[in-house]
Amino acid sequence: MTTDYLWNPEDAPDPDVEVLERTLQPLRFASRAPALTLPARSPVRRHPLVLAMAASLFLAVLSAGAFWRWRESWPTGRAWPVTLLTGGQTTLGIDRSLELDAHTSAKVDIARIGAMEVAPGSALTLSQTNAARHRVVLDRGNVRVRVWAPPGRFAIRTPAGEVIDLGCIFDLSVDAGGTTDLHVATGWVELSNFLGESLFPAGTSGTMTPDGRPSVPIYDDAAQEFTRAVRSFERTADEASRTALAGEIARHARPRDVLTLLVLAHQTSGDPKRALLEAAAQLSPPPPGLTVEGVLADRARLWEWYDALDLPPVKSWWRNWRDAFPHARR
Amino acid sequence: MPLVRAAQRGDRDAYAELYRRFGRFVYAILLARVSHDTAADLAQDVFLQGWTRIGALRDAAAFPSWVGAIARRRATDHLRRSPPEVELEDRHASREAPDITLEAGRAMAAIRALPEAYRETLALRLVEGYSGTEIAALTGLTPDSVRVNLHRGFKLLRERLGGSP
Repeated sequence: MTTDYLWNPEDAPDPDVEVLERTLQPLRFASRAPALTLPARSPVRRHPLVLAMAASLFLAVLSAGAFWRWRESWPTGRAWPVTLLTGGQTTLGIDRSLELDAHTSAKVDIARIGAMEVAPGSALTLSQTNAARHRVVLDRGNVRVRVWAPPGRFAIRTPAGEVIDLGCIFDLSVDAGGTTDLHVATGWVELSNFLGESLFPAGTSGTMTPDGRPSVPIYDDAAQEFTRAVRSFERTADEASRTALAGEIARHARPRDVLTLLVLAHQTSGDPKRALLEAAAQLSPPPPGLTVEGVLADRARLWEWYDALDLPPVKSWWRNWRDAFPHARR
Repeated sequence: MPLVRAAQRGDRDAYAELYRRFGRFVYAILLARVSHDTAADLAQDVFLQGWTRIGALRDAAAFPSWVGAIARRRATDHLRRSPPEVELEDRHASREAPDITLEAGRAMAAIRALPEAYRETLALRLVEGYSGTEIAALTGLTPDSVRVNLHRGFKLLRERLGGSP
């Protein structure tokens, strides 16, 4: 046998190999090759593209999950970074106060879930911070808060009560007497003290004093007469005055102001309550099956009406995802 | 390989040319495992399958080993799903195939009965006439491995066929 021929058919033939080649020749592909009929369309490159997209999506979900876990995490008691806008950095530890003079403002990181812009002259103290709960005491001054986190994760205590973030951007000011003024830019905020609580959706404002229940929400674009009448209504307990003010409120109310009317009606009784509900029914009728008489007979049914208003759900804080970014401003 | 890149862009003629060039390579890989009738059919299946997947092939130069791997998987899949194949000579005896001699069937059956390492190399060399150098280039084996497979395989084959094929 010539080993070269087995390796290289161009070499001198080896008889044994040559015989076997001839024997097998009928099996050659050339004599049996079927025609190749390709399908009409080729999914060329679609397969890797789909794979790449699936892989990208998987990685994105994985990364988002990891980022979210990191963003929510915070070691118990770790101080918050503070940037003084006049220059310089410091931290705000537990039970430590940040007192700004009349010329200095600061940005305080709320762990990793948001930030506060603190105006000159403000005084605040960090009372608690951990992965599930961040609490601040604001004794005086103004802050703009931007938080994107589940409801209740962040709250500010003022001399008038507690301001609970439900996932949003809001402005808060506390004067020397402890009166707390709130304006909500996105999401929802709750004002709460020992006399009651009130929810404020985006675009509304409210107030809370140390000796009174939190006010009802009023849209910022409501008529001034409407706002004045509502605040007067809240300050008086005299039923005759309230009835008169209810008429004034009804005259200046818009369909959107039914939110205010319903919350106000929930906090009162008698003729003023009826007047507010009837005004509300004219502007935004109650849902089917509910009447003013029905609400007067059963106080709890007022919330069916409230829930039928065109308001974002309180628990949909995640929709305000833009608030997670430092430059979110509305 | 420009042909592979053209096929990846959807050029059907380019792919048909790849079939013409590498069809017998794929067929020999299959023939080392299944009967000649089945091998011809499966060769077409392999190239149809390759047409739908060629976009995923990153290195165009790796086309022969890539399509060879598809062929081996296809043969394995076929053997797993199908009942044991009737021996070639028996099939031959029962059908009209004047170009297939009984000796060819017996020789091929003997190659298929060899250890796995030798079957494919011998089918490529003895049926399709590839040189050792070409077999090494197509399969990705080293030339030394191909040489060993050829010589040991052929020696064993000759013994099995009784000294004269």
